[in-house]
Amino acid sequence: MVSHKEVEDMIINILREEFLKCSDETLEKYEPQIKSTVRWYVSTLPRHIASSEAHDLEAEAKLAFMDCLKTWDPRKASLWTYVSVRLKGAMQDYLRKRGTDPVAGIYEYVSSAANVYMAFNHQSIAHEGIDKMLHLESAMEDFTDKEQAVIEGYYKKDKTFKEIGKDIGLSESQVSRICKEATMKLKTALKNPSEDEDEPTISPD
Amino acid sequence: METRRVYRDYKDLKKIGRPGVKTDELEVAPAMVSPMLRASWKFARQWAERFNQELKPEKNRVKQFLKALIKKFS
Repeated sequence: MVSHKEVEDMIINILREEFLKCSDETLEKYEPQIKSTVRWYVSTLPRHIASSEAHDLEAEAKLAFMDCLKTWDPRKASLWTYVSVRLKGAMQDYLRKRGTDPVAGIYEYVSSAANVYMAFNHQSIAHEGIDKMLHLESAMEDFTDKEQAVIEGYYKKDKTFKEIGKDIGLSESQVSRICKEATMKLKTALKNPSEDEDEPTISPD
Repeated sequence: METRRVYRDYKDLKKIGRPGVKTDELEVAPAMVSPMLRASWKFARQWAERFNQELKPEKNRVKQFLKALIKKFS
């Protein structure tokens, strides 16, 4: 015995099949709205990504639209309500796959802009000083081996204190203390690159 | 004398219409439609119109959708 709900589902599925045969028409009808959504999304991206990816994003949005038609249930929401939410997600997924995720892009952009700003605006600082500010490695030259290992492990390799401790044969709390001290030293070294050489180094226990 | 009822409901009579009065041909399920679809005819018509709304307005495809339904249910 087929229930009323099952019959309704069957009807919707058959109607959807027929509807999909004319999906080109739907795409044509909604094209202006898709384009305006893409334009809005591109406007929120950093310029270097927006200029290179705008064309691909539009194609990706259209593909996502066609996918949405296959899963859209008219009983739950209108087509555009359903589609508009998924278009943005599809474009974000595309950028993430391409490795041009706006978040990662913004990070690179800001860090490079900050370096350039520092290089041009700290004219009073000597060339070696600028070099120390820009390159962490040179600021860490005075550090002991353990301090260097902790700083590199924690900030560069994203390891936990426990993992670093295992590598260099220290306990988690010792590593935490060394990391705190080394970070403080690093901050002072980066703030006052010229005074750094005169300061006595704090040896870890 | 007993009166025999031809139609179960007055509404059914109204749907079929009277000679000379035009009715919407999609309002009632056509003959030879399976009882299962006939029972949900109103639902089918309503959603066929809903799907049709998402297509270009120049061409009405409700009939085409309902024909496909009838074919699948037969």
